[in-house]
Amino acid sequence: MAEDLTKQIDSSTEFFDIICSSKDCAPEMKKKLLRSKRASAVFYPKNKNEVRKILMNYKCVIRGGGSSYLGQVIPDHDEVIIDMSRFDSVKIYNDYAIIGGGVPFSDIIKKTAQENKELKSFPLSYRSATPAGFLSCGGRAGIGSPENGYFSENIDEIEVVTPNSEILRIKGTEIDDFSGSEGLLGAITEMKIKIQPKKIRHLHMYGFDSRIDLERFFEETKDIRFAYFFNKIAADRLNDKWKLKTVPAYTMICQDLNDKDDYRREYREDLAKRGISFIYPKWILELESKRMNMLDFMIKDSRNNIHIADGIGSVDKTLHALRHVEKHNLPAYGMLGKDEILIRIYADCKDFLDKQKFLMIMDNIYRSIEPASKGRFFRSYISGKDKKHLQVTINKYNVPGHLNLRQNLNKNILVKKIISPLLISMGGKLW
Amino acid sequence: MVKIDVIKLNKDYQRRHQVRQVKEKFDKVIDRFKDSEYIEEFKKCVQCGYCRNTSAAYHIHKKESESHPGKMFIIKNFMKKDNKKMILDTVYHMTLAGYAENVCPAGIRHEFAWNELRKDFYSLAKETYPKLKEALENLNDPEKNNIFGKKKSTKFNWMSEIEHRRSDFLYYVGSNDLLNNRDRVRRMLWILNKFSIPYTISKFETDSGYIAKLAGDQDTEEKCAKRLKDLVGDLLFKKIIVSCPFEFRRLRDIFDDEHVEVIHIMEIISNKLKILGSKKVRHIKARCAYLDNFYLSEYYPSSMPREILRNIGCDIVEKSHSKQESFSSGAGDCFELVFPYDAEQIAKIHLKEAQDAKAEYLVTSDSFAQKLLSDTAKKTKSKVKVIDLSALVVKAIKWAV
Repeated sequence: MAEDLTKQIDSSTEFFDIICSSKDCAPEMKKKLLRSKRASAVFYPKNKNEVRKILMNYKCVIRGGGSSYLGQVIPDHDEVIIDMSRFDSVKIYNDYAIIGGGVPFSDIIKKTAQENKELKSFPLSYRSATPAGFLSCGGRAGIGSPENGYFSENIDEIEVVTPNSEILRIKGTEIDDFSGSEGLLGAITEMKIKIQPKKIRHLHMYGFDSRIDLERFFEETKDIRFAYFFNKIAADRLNDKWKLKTVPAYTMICQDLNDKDDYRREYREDLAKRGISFIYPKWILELESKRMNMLDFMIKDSRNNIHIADGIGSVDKTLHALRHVEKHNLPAYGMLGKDEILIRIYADCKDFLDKQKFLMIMDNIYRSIEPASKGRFFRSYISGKDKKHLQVTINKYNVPGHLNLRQNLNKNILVKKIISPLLISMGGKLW
Repeated sequence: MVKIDVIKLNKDYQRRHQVRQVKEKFDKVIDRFKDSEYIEEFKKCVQCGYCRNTSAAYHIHKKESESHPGKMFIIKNFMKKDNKKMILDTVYHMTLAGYAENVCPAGIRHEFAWNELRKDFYSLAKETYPKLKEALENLNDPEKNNIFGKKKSTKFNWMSEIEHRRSDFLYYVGSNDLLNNRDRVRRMLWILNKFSIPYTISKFETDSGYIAKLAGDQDTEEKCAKRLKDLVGDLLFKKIIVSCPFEFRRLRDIFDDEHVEVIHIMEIISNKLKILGSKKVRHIKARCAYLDNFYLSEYYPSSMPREILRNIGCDIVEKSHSKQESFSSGAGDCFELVFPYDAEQIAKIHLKEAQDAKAEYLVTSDSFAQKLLSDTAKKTKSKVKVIDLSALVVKAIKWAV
């Protein structure tokens, strides 16, 4: 019989502690699937030996930041939860950091910033997600990924406590095996991740009178890191809020175009010569002077404008976002959410992407999702009657940012870099 | 052929209808919360966890049920009349600092929702938490009119030694400083005199009742507000200067509709220091971390106290949780009254964060926080010294021309 560890290791069997840690995924999911499911206890281990003891004695579910929309780590058979939040150490070195498995990305970002360093890539859900949780739940791409590669590529080493009480240190490509493993292969207690000197980010906002201008802009600009789109409705709201003088038909904000001011000025002059209208309002300059991250701005402003940014997999506020998108007819891309897992890729195929190419990608998505369905909850949605809800809608005048940015890349890269995070987040396999 | 008994059917229908009506009424009584506006705020939460780090209580044990998203989840799913006792601690074991609002992607009005919720729970809280009950009884006692249980007459019996000018500006000191932290009041008055700001101190000053608001005691809250309005209205004050962030916020709420301006003394210090210039100030060469206060950061930019510190020659270091993503000090709120041990734990975390940031001083603008943190620092023998912002300012400008 399993040893009772509740007195040896800090733990809780209180109803609210259990229920709060057991029900992390979005409410609609909970209602359907997990109405009566919960763990039998929550453990709060402080070191790897405690984790090892728990793993040896109980059926476990390992919990990181609890921000995963699909709830990959939700107990459904009276398991115990291992809450990793007390693994919160962050040690910064010259070009790497050693971090605990349960520290949220936001804490790492702040501590690296104190040393004038930054993470190479991190997810959009950085405020609550943890590195170990992000990796385990199959999170791959995020902010910084187009520049520095997948999140797993920026990890040097991980320390894993396996269920058969081994403590392993995994390096190199083997780390990929733990991506999407949902904690089944063990608990990640420590990670060594790459960091780099902090860069100053600049924000740019451009407006375009016509879609042709916008398209031309994309063709000619190759160093855009992130782009966010607003349609007329959203731009109108921006106008109300920030009192912009002109509201263009299409407004795009992009980040990190280039660090040098001269370059930007030249670039703007270039654009002006070509007859591309743009706005560069005061508030953007203010944001620059405050060194405010655009993401912060976006999150603050999320009531008005919806943006599913880089890394579709980390759609932690999907539900909220989806409602707004539908209500206000805002542009969005790569969304998943709502009661019935519904994939919607909004795209204007004619202007931005070859229609056949797009449909081919969608074909791949279908084929990859159905047989794989690694995520146990996703499987229950796909199989059976809910299958009919899987659909693709192609909306006119909505721009898929990811696809659009990389239209000059070949299909394989496009699929690997853009579609795979979406699939992994849903429990699908890479092809 | 089957005969249909129409009369029986009608009776059945009427009975079912009556049962339904009774059930609806019963449901309304049981779940009267469901009709409340603030419940909608709780329903908006999708447990994204963005606000987790802004929950002060979460940092003590790192338990999900003590974080904002966890509490939201509990309220959303288990709030019924029968469960009130069960979730009372969920409602009161938290500070009402609204930092969560700064990071919430769903736009939930956290402060409003929790404040309104506490109104429903107040009567039960009064029975359950004796210290809260005692504090509010003291506040209602006309001879005391403060939460500390000290006599009202002791508030101003030391005031004769202080010179004050008569003007349209009221310096509202607040019960805590008057009774427990008189050095701070002396410092504030010294600063006002130094900067030639005319002010009046009213010996008829009454408690603003902010603790009643935070605890959900609506009656006391309204009484206190009325008394203060009468005082300010009778003496025709146009501007109120406040030095306590809690009182500042409370007075802002009370005089929201009136033509009375409420400012915090930090604003005066900031403006005057800019005029004075850094050359005329004695530089205090110390590494300082500033402990943000939500009520101040709501109206003033978080850079303002930091600028003041910079102007007097301090080096600023940031704690890992600071500015918009800070969390409450645990002091001043009814959290400290009800759970004093936990408030101390939160203070320890703040001190540790300041120590990690290699700060010599942890600077606050809040006298409650200063007391709690300095007591905790003494107990834990922390290397970090806790100091009030005004104390540093006085040090720096004492010899200014």
